[in-house]
Amino acid sequence: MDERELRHMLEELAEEGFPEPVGLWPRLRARIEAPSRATAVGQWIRRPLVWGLALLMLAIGIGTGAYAGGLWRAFLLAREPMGFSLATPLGLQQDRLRASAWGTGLCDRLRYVGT
Amino acid sequence: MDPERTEQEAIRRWRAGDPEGLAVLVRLYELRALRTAYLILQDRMDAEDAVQNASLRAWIYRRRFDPQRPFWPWFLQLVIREARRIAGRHLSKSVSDTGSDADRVDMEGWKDPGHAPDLIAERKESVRALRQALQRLSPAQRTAVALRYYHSLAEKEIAEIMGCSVGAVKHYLYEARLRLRDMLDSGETQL
Repeated sequence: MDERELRHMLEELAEEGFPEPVGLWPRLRARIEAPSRATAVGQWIRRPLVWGLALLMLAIGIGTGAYAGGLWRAFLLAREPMGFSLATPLGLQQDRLRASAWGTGLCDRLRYVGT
Repeated sequence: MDPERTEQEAIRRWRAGDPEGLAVLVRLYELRALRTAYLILQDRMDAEDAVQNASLRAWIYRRRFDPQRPFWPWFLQLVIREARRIAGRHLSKSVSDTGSDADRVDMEGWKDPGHAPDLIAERKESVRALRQALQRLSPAQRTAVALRYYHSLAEKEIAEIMGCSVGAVKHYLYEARLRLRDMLDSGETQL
């Protein structure tokens, strides 16, 4: 048996299986139309569900953000040495130091005057 | 009306969401698709299921179709995928179990008065032997054989349709030819 013979035999075998069209369209049409009706009904059910889920996710996101922000602030406060915050700009820290030194000097002078 | 224009119009309507467009396309290609699926699955009901599922997919994924390209190769790809999926489900079935259609001999094709009875019987026997030999191939091998020898496609085209490499197609065809040769005759095969 050569290639041509195989081709002929495959054609015969295929024709034997389906000598003529079987008319798939009516069954197919029913299958195509069935899900479209189900989809229309399903959409009305699913739409509020999707919006509800989206709102829930948003609320969870906002809540988590607020909670994380609070935690961060608490962390910074816990790490703040002697009233200086890590978040305090360097210039402001120097001003506070200067003010603190000036205050100490004034107290010393007042103590001296008092004596 | 020009068949090519009819097809183009059907494709336009189908892509626009008109089921009548798909109806025209299904009627145009149904027989070719059914016969291809039958060569892979060797069962009429399974072949009908494969073509029906493929048509349904064609409806669902109509937007993915490139209108610049011909419809048949795209649809054939869907049919092949469905047929292989169904064949995969039946892999556990033994060869003898699949014999409902396999053992059926349709005499319609043998009523040609030009054929001598002994020639008819011999031919019938050859087709039956081929059917049984095909059943012993893997679904991938049967698919490659159907596309190569029934549709006369090139290995590259077969690779595109089967979603594998050209090397894999060559391997499937080589193995299939080897097995068919072993099963069909005693050495005169030139496949």
